[in-house]
Amino acid sequence: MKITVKDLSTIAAKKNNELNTYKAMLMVCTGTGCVSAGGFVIRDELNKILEQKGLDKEYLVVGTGCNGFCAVGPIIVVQPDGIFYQKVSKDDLEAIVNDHLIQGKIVDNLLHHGKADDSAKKTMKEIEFFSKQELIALRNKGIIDPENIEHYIAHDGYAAIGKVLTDMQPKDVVQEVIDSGIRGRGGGGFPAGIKWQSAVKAVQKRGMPPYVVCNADEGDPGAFMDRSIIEADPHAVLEGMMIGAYAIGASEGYIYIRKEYPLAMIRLEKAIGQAREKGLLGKNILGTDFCFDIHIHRGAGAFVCGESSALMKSMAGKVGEPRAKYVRSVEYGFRDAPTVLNNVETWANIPMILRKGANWFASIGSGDVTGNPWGGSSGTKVFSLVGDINNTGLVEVPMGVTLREIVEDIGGGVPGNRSFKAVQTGGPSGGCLPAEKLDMPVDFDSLTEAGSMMGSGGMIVMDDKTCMVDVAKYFTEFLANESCGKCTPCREGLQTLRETLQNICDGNGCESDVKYLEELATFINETSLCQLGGTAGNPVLSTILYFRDEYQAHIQDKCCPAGYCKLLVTYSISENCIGCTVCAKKCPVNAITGDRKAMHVIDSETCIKCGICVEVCPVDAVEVK
Amino acid sequence: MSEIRIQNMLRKHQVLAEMAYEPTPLRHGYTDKVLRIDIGSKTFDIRPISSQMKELWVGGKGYDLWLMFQEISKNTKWDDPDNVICMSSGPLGGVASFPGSGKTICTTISPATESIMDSNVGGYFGPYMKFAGFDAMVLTGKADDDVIVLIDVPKKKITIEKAPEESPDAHVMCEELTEMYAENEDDKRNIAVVAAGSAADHVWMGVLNFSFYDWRRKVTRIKQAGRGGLGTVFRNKKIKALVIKNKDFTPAWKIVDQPFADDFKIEPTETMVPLDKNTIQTIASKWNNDPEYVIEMMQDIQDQQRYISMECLDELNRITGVPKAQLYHIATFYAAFTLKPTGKHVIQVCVGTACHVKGATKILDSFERELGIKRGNTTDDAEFTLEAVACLGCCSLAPVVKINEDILGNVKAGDVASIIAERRGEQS
Ligand SMILES: Cc1cc2nc3c(=O)[nH]c(=O)nc-3n(C[C@H](O)[C@H](O)[C@H](O)COP(=O)(O)O)c2cc1C
Ligand code: SF4
Ligand code: SF4
Ligand code: SF4
Ligand code: FES
Ligand code: FES
Repeated sequence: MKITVKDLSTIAAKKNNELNTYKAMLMVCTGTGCVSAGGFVIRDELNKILEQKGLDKEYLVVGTGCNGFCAVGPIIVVQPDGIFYQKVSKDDLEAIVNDHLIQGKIVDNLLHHGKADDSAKKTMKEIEFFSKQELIALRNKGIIDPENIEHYIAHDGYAAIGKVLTDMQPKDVVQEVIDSGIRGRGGGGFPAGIKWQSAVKAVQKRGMPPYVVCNADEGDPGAFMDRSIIEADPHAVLEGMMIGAYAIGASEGYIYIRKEYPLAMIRLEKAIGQAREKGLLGKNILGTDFCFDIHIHRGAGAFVCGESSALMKSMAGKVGEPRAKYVRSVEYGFRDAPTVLNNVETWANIPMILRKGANWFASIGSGDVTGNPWGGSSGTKVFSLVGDINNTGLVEVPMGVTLREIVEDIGGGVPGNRSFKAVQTGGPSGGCLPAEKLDMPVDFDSLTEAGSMMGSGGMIVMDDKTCMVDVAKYFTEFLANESCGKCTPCREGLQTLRETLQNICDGNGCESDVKYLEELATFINETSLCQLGGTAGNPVLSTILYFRDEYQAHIQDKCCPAGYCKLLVTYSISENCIGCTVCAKKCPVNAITGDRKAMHVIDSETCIKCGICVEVCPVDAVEVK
Repeated sequence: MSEIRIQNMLRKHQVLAEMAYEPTPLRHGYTDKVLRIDIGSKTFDIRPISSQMKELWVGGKGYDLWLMFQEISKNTKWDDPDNVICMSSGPLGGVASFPGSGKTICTTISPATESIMDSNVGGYFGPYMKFAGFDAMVLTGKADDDVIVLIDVPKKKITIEKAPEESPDAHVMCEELTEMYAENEDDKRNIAVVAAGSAADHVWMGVLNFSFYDWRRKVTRIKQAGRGGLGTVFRNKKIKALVIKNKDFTPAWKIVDQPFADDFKIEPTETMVPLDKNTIQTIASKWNNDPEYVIEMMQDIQDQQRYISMECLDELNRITGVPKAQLYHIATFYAAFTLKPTGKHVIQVCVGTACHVKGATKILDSFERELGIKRGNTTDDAEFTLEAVACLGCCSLAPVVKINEDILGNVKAGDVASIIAERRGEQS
């Protein structure tokens, strides 16, 4: 049934009433992380148990998108109290139903324990991971069913487009977005409102109907913000795009999404289907004159297709090779028409800006964006906090919080008795920041100044057993593999860079190498055609800037201080060995010998440095030096 | 591409003319030599470049136009044997430090405008022509049968050969000739091919393709001198291709620790149902036969068939009208596609940043060891294909491995043997 603007509040009220009839709701995380550990099975089993016990009218099971705290999944949150159960398995469900729902007793062994005081935390609010977070883009994560449009409407969804269509002129919408100061969340940090304004001008100049496009390619390895936003709240992205389309006068929109994200794709397709059914997409949206529809294009696994001109080529069914930047895609984009391309997170923020106002948004974050969006970084940013850190997952924090707050307070620091070494931000175009930089604020300009960048929001923490030369090699190799091959500095230069780094890691580096690396990396940055090559030197430059010692150790002393580079380390067993024989049994090449309860020895001639003995030793007796 | 097929192709070559020569080394960016080849009379001529010509015309387009000026008259038509194709590189040609220094500049009388045109193009040819001892090259005359011209620098000779069997499609022909003249995988970077395809036989705007070897995708790729119908003139002279085999070029970017995937042959098993034309039509219809959605169509084909055969590409070309060369380019460009059949279990080891930091390299090594194959390959029994991929989007479960649709989180190197054994057990 097609609805009008007025119907939105009626639907919301009705749905909220319906949800309020339940004694409690069990929010089962069905984001990709939890699904891989059985999220769907848990949701279905829970439904079955409630049905068997005749409780399905009193309790509602909701499959939600990623809750954020993926490290401890699968997760169930019992609302409205917000009781947080972690690492739930199928066998725990009886206890949750019997103890918690029926008898009102919290199931203690499924609670999260804080790191600082090791006390059991009952609710999400008490857990350190959720502290300091402020949710805008992820406002509905874990509290709605992403596959049900009425849940979204019940949480004020589509209210913003309703307001825009009835009360605002397109140019006011553009102005509101400019005033909010929001800068693109996909990498470049270009002010979204200014981009929209250019598109409007291009439409006037060229008289061609424009397009809005959502970049959901998320090629940055180690980042999954966009995937989670779509999985948790697909309608937020659709609503954002609708507002953008109204503002620039587009009647068609596209979402370019990686094929590696099947769950996100399914949820998007469902969301688009439901929105069309309700008359929120298609002709005469919400009973007004506004017509707009959204289609999906699937990516095929090329990092470079996240770049705007390559993405638009790929959407046209072609090979994704970038073109020179002087032709701007806001003027000549998809099908050669003016095109506004924004990232998933940018789009998801838009409805909130229109609903709560530009001033509200601009007041969050760092710097001052009044009158000039370049003046600071307003709003929040979603980060995927991963790597060597206790609380891995998705966090959304106001711009300007310090790295330390993210890594230590929210992330709970580095696991084991290891120490923090670096945090990598900005994806392959970014850089590695050392411990000295932990107190810097996290926003667009500070990160760039420190030799890294905001990027799309990957934040990879590294402990002291991570070799920074290897990390530089890793990123260079990634980029060399993803280079589209169109221009020479990137295609051939990255190979040379990679080979030089490999030589250093193998202990074959020479004195002049570091200088050569700096020269070549700068050269690649300066002469490449697109921003893939244009930033490809950064991982090398930033690791040299902050970790020059490590390069020197590899080159002069032929040693890898982190104990990582295979050709420079040997494995041995220390006196701590209790002779449990596990490592000897597991070693794939039988390089370990020793009697039960006696110290074991590794034959370094035979050892292939596979690392399995380190993994299995119960007392950390295997040393890598 | 099969060895034998290429060998047979080479056997059909017939040398029509041959000249031994001594390649002139580069001095200050110049060899000061022009190679003139008359395809009609099958004669070669190496001419010196005077210091006056060098001073006045520098190289590139200047050389080309000056050479043309001497070869043609005001009455020369584009399809006269006297029309020439001139190719030249500049003094910076082949110096890797400057953008654009890999270009070749070509000129001829255009069939489209009947006037002189120029076009510039990338690919390996320009630099390799310099390394072969020539600042410029002039092609004139017209052959009776389809020929190729080969400049073999290691053997120090130039030949004109009849070459009947090479594919008339330029993108395939470039692959075939690269394969034919390279001693091994690494040597493919020493081959530069210039070719025009069958379309150039029929239209006035036929392009000339210049190859380079993409080590990462293991495929010969091409750049085009697209302006003015150079390919049409090339074909009108009955030249199929011009090949330079460069000498002992050990590229700085020679891969150290990633041995190239060996070719492997596996017979289709019963799970590998060859797609019939109806299935492809059904898939294409789902996307309204819309050329903008060929990538989606190819994904659907890949999903069903676990690879994309050349026959599928032909069929898609018929249905959508998208040129075969473009489909082939898509199939080799995007990581999601493979032109070789994959195994029953596709193991994707995530080597994204989070997984890398958490030890993905050791896990990948373990899979390679336990399966006895390198990444990018399939086991002989067609059970397992091993791939390294960058980020599956479950980074908080790092290190992550995906086997077909299952995602395994927090994998340890020590688990690998049992993971494989489990999958082996599943099907017996
Ligand atoms: C090599 C390369 C890869 C990129 N990958 C992505 C990506 O995966 N997702 C994304 O949103 N933006 C990506 N970008 C940035 C986009 O080109 C574009 O700036 C962005 O999508 C614009 O949206 P925003 O202004 O909302 O950030 C990439 C850029 C480059 C140069
Ligand atoms: S910089 Fe790299 S990715 Fe970008 S166009 Fe050049 S080769 Fe392609
Ligand atoms: S590293 Fe691997 S090969 Fe070496 S001793 Fe340990 S288990 Fe054996
Ligand atoms: S696993 Fe550790 S404790 Fe056990 S035998 Fe090996 S080194 Fe010793
Ligand atoms: S997927 Fe469940 S918490 Fe992230
Ligand atoms: S880095 Fe491995 S899943 Fe993202």
